[in-house]
Amino acid sequence: MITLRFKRFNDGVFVPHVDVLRSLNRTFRRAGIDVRYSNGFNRHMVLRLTQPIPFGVADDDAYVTADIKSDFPLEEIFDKFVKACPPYIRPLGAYVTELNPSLGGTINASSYRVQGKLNVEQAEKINAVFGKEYEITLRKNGGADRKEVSSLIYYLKADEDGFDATLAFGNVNLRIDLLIEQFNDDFGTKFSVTDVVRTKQLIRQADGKVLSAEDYLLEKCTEKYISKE
Amino acid sequence: MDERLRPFLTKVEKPGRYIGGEYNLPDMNKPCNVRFCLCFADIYEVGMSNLGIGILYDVLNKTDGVVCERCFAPWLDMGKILKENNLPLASIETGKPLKEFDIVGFSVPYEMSYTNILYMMDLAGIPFRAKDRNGDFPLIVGGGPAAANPEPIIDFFDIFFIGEGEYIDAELCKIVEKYKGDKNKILEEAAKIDGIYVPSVCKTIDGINVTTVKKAVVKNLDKAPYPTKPLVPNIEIIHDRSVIELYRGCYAGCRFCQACFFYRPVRYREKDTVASLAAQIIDNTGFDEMGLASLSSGDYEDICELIKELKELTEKKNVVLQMPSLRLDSFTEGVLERAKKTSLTFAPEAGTQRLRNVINKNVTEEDIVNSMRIAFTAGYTTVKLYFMMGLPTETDEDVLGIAETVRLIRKTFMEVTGKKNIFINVSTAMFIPKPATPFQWAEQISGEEMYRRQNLLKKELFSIKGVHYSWHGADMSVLEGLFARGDRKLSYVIESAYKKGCFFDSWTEKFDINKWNEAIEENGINVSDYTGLHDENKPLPWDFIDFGVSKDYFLKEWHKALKGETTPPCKHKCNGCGASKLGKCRFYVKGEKE
Repeated sequence: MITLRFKRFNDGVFVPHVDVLRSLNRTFRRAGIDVRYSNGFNRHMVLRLTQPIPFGVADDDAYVTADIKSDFPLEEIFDKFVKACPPYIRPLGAYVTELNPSLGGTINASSYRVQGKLNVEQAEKINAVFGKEYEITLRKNGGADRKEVSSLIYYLKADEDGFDATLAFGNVNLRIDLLIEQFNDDFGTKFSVTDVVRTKQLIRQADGKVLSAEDYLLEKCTEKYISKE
Repeated sequence: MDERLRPFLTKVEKPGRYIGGEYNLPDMNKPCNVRFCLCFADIYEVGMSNLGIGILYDVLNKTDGVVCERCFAPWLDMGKILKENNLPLASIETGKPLKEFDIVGFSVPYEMSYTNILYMMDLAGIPFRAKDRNGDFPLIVGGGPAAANPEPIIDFFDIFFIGEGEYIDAELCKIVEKYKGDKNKILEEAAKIDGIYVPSVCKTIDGINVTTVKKAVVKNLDKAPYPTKPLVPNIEIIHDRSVIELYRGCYAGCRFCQACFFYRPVRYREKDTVASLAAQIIDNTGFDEMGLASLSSGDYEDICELIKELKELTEKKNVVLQMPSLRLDSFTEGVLERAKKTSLTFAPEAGTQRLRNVINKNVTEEDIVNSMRIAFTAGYTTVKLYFMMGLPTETDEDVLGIAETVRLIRKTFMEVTGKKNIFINVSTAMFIPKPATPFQWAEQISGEEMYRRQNLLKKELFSIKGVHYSWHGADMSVLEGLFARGDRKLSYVIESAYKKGCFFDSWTEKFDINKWNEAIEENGINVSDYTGLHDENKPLPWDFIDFGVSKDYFLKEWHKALKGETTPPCKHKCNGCGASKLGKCRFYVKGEKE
């Protein structure tokens, strides 16, 4: 089982999650990397891509896992993949594990950097959200529900150039695009979803210990290759 | 990508349409003297599925000194943003406004895309009519399947390509490079090339062009350029797969089919060439599906051998080989042997043998039953059937004959399998008489009559279990008929309709027949003058085009049709259509007819 860590950037933020998966499928085929296929009527390449992030958000920490049948050295597999990648994907590393690391189901938090000029008052107001009750509006099917989200914000720190946030991600989720929309409404900020970069995917374990997805893979892997670029 | 669009991309339905940056993108920064913008008058997903666009894009970017970029019609949301923000329409690759290119070339795929050409020119800030554009504007050129009769839109173009563009596009670029800045000289020189129609240098009598333009034909298809590194889109497109073209033209000679005659002479890509192209394209794109393109792929001489060879290749690479739609008389067990059993598509076109003879669909009821037996024995349980309605001499009996054919297929399924769980998708299109066919003089039935016949069939099919019926809109078919055999006067209708808000007319949710009717009325056009029976002795607006196939041949076939006589497919015997004078026809035998 090989997990590839990659970043999705530039115009790639406008490529929907399902199309990224399709692009990765084509990348493996172009690279000539032999990936295991499903055995059903409509056979397809078995790829496990970590969960989708909101449309327009750049991603510095995405992962795809594939069951690869290859005798090539890991570095060679990685190089082949790099050469076959679409321009909006840059592979960062490859990790070999005995079993599927099930990152999609294990990751439960994500860190983001949101770029955008803030005045002192706006930065203070955003900082004041952390640790206190805070409601956001969920707009769905023309309606608008309010939801209290303080338990889903694990970290929030604003400065004059934007803010950093760590939010619940996965089955229990706080979408960064909804949070910045609420900040725009409440504090007069002018953030756009394209100002956001997901910097890390995280695993908050039962004992409260927080591990980055990359560190989690490093703990589990039997072999690794990290890009020199 | 066009950086000016970035702030708006989160506000539109599918931003992926506008970002470009596909895998296999050619070098846009190579030294160049001519910049060509290849435009398609529909959205990205439709245009990127067009093989012609892919071939021309590849050919032009491989031409020294030429850089070719693309532009597709922006969907309504993006079009509105461009207008509101005064952003001129630009190319996908570098965001260069269309009016800064040397050549802007529109591929015109079908009649209902005519207003989209104006929509794109409007967004680009380019005057619609050639006479209103001076040398400061790019050369506006057109081409594509609409070239069989470009007259309704010719006033919008400086140049129109008639026929296949593989070589003439690049030749035009050379002329533009040589005489840059001198539009008149460019037009004068371009008019000397076969396949290039320059209306401003042609002679007209009573508004009809009389200067002959010979259709451009790729003489040796086997050696013709073909993109082995096609662009791989970042978003899902309509035909999201790699495509290999097997051959051009068609020997069957169905009398309604424009493509059959327009793309004659019949020319092949040899089996080894096809296999080699397939291997390269799979490796260079990574597509997980591959399709075979041509007018009737099942008729390809080595189809069974080819499928066997391609199956071996695609299975090794985990690529699905899509079976082409098949003619009922070309259907054999060999074709099915290695196919995935999903559904099969057949086109009997007419419901009775009499009408099939009129249209020269050389298929008998026996062929239909035999083909179905093969399919059902092989395990197929879903069949798609294509028919046409409103064909010349059609009666209610022929319409009800479609339902009889469906009943016969159902009965055959039950006999072969002993089961009743067959799914039959029946689709009917309305017959539209097209230029460059034996039916170019035929009458098209009115919109009301189309509705009546559709309802007649709908009622009849309703009583048959497992049948799903879909049909093509009557109003749209009447308009297609109007423009298919239109003349230059119709350019004013197109312009009026666009100004009333008609564009993306091939999209049913956007099509508004009332606005079109207003435009037709305002311009004093009588639709039946165009859709009615045409006088065989009067000149037709497209008579100036030398299609290879002669007008006499079309006329002879038209008369045979009216008598219900058939013409055998030319793979059995050359029928002397005349196409081989433009290039060697696969089935032309010297001394036999021509």
